[in-house]
Amino acid sequence: MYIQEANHIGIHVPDSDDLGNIFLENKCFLVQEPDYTGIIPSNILRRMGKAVRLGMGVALPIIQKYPVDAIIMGTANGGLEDCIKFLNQIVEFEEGVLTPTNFVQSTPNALAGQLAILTQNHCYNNTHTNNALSFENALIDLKLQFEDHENIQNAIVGAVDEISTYNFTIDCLTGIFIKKDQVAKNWVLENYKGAIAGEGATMFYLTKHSNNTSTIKIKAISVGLLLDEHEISENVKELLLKHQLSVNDIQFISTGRNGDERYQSIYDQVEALFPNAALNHFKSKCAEYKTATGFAVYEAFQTLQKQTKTSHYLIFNTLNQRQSLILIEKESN
Amino acid sequence: MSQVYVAGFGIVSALGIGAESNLKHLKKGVSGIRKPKYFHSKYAENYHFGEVPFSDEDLIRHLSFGPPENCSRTNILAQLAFEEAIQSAGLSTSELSSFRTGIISSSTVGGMCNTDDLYADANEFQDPSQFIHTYDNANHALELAKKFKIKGFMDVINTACSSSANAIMLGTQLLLSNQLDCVIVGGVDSLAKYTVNGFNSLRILDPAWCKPFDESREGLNLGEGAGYLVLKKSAILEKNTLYVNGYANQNDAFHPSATSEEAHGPILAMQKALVKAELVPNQIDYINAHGTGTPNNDRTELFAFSQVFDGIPPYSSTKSYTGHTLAAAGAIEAIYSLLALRHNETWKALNNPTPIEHFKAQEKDNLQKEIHHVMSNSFGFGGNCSSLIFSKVV
Amino acid sequence: MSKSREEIALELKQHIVTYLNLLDIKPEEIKNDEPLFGGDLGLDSIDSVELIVMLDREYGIKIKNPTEGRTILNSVDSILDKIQSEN
Repeated sequence: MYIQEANHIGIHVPDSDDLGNIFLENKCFLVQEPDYTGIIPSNILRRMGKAVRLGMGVALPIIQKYPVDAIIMGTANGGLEDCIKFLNQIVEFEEGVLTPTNFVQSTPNALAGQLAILTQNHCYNNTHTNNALSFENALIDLKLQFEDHENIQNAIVGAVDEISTYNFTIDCLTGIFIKKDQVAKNWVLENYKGAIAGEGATMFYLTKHSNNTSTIKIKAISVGLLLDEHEISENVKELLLKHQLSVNDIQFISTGRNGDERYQSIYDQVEALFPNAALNHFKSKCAEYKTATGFAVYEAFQTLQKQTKTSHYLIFNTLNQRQSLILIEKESN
Repeated sequence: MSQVYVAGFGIVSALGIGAESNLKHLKKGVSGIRKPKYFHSKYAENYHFGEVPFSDEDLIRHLSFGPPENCSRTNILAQLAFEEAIQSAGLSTSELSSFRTGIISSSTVGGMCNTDDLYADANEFQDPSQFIHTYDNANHALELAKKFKIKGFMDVINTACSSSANAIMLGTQLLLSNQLDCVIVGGVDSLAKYTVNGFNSLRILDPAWCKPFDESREGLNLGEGAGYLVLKKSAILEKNTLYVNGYANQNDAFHPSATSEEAHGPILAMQKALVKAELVPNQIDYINAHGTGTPNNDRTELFAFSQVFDGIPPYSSTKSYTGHTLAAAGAIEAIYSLLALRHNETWKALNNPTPIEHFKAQEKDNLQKEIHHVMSNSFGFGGNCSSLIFSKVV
Repeated sequence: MSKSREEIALELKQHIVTYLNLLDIKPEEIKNDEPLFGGDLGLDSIDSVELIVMLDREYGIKIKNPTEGRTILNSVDSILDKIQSEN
């Protein structure tokens, strides 16, 4: 499948070691939300939680421009802020009369559903909530729909997760994230006992066939679960073998290093397989969230657009006992 | 051409643990909906629910492979149905841990069934509770993958009340595309203050026993349970084998929490599933309807039937037995559809003294004839509408 | 000292704007006799439930019956009548 267009709303990346007041106050990287006026109708915007807003913000500019045969989202948490707001109401009003908006907005499929409503689109519509593989599963889903349905020729696929006080708290307690008062600019190389949290929304317009405007394709998606370290390197080699590529055919390697000491040796191993490739640590620009590989693919798309020769870009990520490899290819012009 | 067939299934619902117990109650026409014994909520006193009639401790005693590491009710229910599914399919440990075996599950509530613990954890009112790892929507599936060493593929879908129908559809497609040899698909949800208050805030809970497709219906009863199907693929299927014949996922594109009067989504889902199965409408012998018992759903679903079918085939909602089990509903009702096919019977539509008039429907329940094709509908918030068709090899 | 109908009306409109998070509508822009539903405000069934919650929390008015709800929630005027009749 071919990437025709990509859109991203993400965190503000500081230019220096000074991370700014927003980080100091929140201990995580937050997106600076755009002014949605003119993008999202205000009568709908008023009900949306952050995740849905972010998702709409990146999706609507695309979805209004192209025909869409499928809407597939990946989100680990959906609107968790709304979810806990509703939960707080339940407890604070002792299961009394409660406002339903938070409840309706908290379901992870609220974004995909809202996109369908706004564009009056009755097409295939799915939402994946498999933690750190939610976005990868959404891509695999689309690949299956392309194979199975002749009438599905294009789709919008998204990766959206918000950080709210509540899921930040919970994921700090489970040890995924860590709260730091100050972190260095290159914090992804640190050996912390958790990752620095971020959030973001990325949306892609993908087509089954190349239509000459784009020759950048997602060539392979490989997902792993509960793998040992040696199995992960084997998986990388297998993927290359399957596509008749050698390590030197990979010009760009982008990994999900996130400053968490538990993952450093896995990333060391995978990065060491590609000594000649340009190395990128995508989370230094988007921080850690469970659908951050959406941002990695966005970056790959930007980078590959500038290439004139055939190039390969490999993304490797691991988090929460899950691993993924996404291979993106630019065909020569 | 290869077909995806059902190698086994497992179920737990208000009608008990296991397919046998569920079938027994369906045959007798005995509902599992009552005032709950184990669910704690202000509404437990006066409202009716499809509660699985066992405490967590008793449920754990029914497990063959020991309790889940993170022991929420959701995770226990999931493991119960999962164990029965893999046992009835005769899956070996090596088959389970093959890189060609996967799991696709779904849940809307997940670990939020422990609503009060989540409240305390999210607001940091206490040291982390024992449920801290369960709040992630995918936790129940990860627990199963860990316990049964599933390494080939895992996915979790959340399209609200149509979640596990979509898990069945995606699993079927993975097999047809030759990505896997075996996939266990389904879903789980347990009763939670979260969903009870959510549906109540939308004013769509009937405090009394729900009345699907009845003129006097007032809303749904929430239920809990889990259902898993083991799917495999083969070019040659023996007589009486049950298989996934059609599926479709479409969107109503109308409202976040209601179905349109025109029933665009339900109509499209049923029509496309029929096309996929290469069946004409009158070949459907029975529809296991979504039939929640809300004024909105049942009216639009019945309208959709009238648009898709020349004469509406026998239909019923088994939610008058189990309540609405949300993410598990698609899988639980798929299993009831499979039982209907296997035993050539459907069951009495309960609590339906004054069927909705206006739409001409045939005899609806206690069908006793050779059943070849059954349609199962699942519609959810976000306009998500899915329709599945299961068939039997003749 | 009891508030005038206009004072109660403004307070009510502020609650409506807050509870429904109406983004580009100022409380004073809502006319007393304007239909809340099916008009320019673009409100739907979820909003009617939100307003029922608002009446409960802010005014202690409990609406059980949806038909009764529809009559009361017709306009600011009809809600004001209900609020004043309860006091």
